[in-house]
Amino acid sequence: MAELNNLTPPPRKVMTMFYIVDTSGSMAGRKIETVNSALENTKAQLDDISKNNDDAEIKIAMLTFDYEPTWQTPKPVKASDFHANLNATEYGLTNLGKACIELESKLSRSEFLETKAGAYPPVIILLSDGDPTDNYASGLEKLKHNNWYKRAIKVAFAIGADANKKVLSEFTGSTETVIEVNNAKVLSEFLKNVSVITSEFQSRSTNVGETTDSVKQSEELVKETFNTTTIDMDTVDDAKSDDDIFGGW
Amino acid sequence: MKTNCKPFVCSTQGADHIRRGVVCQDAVGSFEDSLMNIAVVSDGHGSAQYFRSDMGAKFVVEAAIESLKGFVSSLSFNDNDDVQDKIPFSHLCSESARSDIVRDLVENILVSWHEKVDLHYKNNPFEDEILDSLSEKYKTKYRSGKYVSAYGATMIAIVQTDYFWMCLQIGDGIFVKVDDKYAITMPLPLDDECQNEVTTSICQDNALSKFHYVFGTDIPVALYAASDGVDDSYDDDEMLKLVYRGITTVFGKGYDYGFQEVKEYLPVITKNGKGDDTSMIGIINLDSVSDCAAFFRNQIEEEQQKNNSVASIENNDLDSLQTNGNSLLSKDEDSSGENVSECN
Repeated sequence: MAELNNLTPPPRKVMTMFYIVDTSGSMAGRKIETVNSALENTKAQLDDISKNNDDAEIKIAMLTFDYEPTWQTPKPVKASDFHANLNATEYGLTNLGKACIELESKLSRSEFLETKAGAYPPVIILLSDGDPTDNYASGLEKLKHNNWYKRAIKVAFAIGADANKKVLSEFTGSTETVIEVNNAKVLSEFLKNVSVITSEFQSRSTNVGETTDSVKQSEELVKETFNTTTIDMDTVDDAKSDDDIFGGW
Repeated sequence: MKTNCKPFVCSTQGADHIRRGVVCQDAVGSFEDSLMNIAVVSDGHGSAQYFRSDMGAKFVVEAAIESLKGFVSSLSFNDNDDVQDKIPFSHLCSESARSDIVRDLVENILVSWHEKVDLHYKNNPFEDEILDSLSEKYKTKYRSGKYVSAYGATMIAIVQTDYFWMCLQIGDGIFVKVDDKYAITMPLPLDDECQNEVTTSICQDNALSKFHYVFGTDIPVALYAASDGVDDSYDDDEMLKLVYRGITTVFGKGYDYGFQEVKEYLPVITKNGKGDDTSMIGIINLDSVSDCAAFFRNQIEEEQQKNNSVASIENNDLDSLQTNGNSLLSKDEDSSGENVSECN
């Protein structure tokens, strides 16, 4: 049997990539531009993985947060239909707790994970450059009780020196899954590679169940990302010497 | 028969059922002779309280085939025939008379199914061990003698003759028709009472009122039906239509080739899809399926060529960006890339 595989669309579950992006005022300029461009550059690869994956289709959902959380995708979309065109707001508030509550409300079979064939546990990538300005702990605590969250691959990006890495590691469950990025080139490369590696793993993983430690698995995937990401350090050094270009991260 | 049609039936245990050690609760069956083709699929309910639904599904298939055989044999297709006790085919074609005729047919199926269930229960009463494992509600119900629910199942039955085709359905699952213009349709609308894990059932006291049917006198290329293990594995009807287009296409290479392809494809559907038991039945018109398959094959090849050309343009765009060291893809640049691909 080979022909029907080529003549029919594959029956597939869905794996959703959740991008949770801080759009508070401090993200304005080069940071948010870099996030936009990195995601735009990544979506073709995610689309490719999705099309060539017999197990699952990959969809993307994006939540931004500043004063209020806002879904940029009213429901998860195919990678090919996804557009990253974020703007940072003028507000200084970084209400991560509210974002956690909003995310928790959509991590459900009756919400964003509603598919006929079923859903794989998602990948959740959080990007932030600052300190939460609300009572993030109660929102995060609620999120931590969500079974989809428990089974998700979780990675955070600490953008710049002011990012609160402790809070981000509370979100992911490990300091090993918080990636510190201090310039556009590194953010761009790592965001792309983390997206590809985690989505490739999670959209094929039939072994991630209640007993599997998703935090340890996330750590492994971040290690793999570091091993496979090669950045031209000369370019990075050049960039460091030109803080105007990279917004003095 | 003047039309050269042939039924097929195919069933596979659900990937999830294999994992959990649950028997296959789907049943399928077919019949063919010089007068008719019949194909039936039944899906026994999966919940623990329906612990004899695999037997119930088997009895549905037997009851439907027996009743449909009797029904077609009771029709007179030539108005000049002087045959007493037969139903003139013209009556079946009359919308007003048809509903009563079909109602009688469904009643026959129900009576036959209940007889089979009653006999099986009489010879195999429920064991205390099984009853003790059920919820209080069902334990009490079954101990009071209301045992029919344990055999609950759905049914889709297709019958085709030289003069008409008909599909009868109770519960979930889907019926698909490929007509002589090669249009793929789902003529029986989804029953509003069948949502998520809830379905109507032959075991209901008011099952007679839960049946739906569709009748036609055209000569389709193919009639298909499947248990919900198939339609629940795809997100929408458009994807399902592409599945049935592909299946019709492989039958264009011959009945045996098509049947083998379907047989080997069902495990793929259940593995990558919902994981439920997955069964498909159909009646293929061997005279017209080759031309239809050639038409579908052209459609598919054109779509694949278009997709390949779009992918090639997207890759070129990406290569070009990477070569130029430009990691920032502006909205305008992205839009222009899409326009190029559309022009091609």
